[in-house]
Amino acid sequence: MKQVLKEHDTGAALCRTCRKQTKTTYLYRDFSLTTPKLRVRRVLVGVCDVCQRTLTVPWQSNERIQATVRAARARTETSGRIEARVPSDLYERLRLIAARLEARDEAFAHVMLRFYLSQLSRSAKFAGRVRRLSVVREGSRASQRVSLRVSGKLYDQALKQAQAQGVTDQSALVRGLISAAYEDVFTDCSPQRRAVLECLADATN
Amino acid sequence: MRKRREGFREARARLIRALETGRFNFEGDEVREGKNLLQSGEVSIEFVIALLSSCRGTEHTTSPHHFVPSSSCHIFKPVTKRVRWYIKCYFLDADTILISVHIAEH
Repeated sequence: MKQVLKEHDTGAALCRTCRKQTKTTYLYRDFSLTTPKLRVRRVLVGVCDVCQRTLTVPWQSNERIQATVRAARARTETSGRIEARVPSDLYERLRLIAARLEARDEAFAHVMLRFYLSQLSRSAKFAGRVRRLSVVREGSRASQRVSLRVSGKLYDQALKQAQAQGVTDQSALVRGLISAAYEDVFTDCSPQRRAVLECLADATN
Repeated sequence: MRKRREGFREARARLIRALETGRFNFEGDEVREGKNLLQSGEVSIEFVIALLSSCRGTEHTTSPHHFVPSSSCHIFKPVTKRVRWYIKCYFLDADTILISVHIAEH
């Protein structure tokens, strides 16, 4: 049977800051890793009673840290990234949609674009609409960057559907998705999708 | 200054017991790549115990801890499948703190 420590248990360690043996108290702290870069929330670690530096990581906490690392690596390996450049007027439309739905800009925009990618992967008709809306207006310069990480499954299905409809690059795809969302919110052409967007806005607030 | 074979059997038994019971800590506030393969999950507790079990007294030394020289660390350098490993730890009261588990550089 392995020993399991709990908060406020005590121990001892050599402290790099104090340069001596000190007593430690086990406390919950966020633990940051550099490779892969991630933060594990509320990990039980041994903290120096004198300088409050984290000195030790008990075996049980390391198990949690490694589980988080494995999950992060698995997510990275199985996910895809959508990278697009869009004109600033489309970027403004993203913000207008969020404002209309009283949502938080950045968080909502990512969730909304994932939702529209999902819609596109399920419907050839919707993909055709996205293609029509992806046309760039003359004189508009793609000055804004949109970056989106999605699951590998959604990435593959959405890009396959988009390519079947003639949308060949990711920037065109994102242009079409934003324009479709803008239409749905501001013209009431799809009350069902608008209702889903309202729910997503509530969920991300 | 390194000394040879100081408390080898006791140190090895204590470290193995700590690994078996989970009564050990990793040193530091970060996971440094390649420094502690047990901490990074690249080797198992059972593997380290097997390494220690095969370790001989001549493959054990002690050395001063690098930032608290008055405390000493135990270094085990067992060989398995023609590969020499490097396991470094120190003991304080009831605590066992594992500093390194990796393939030896020399």
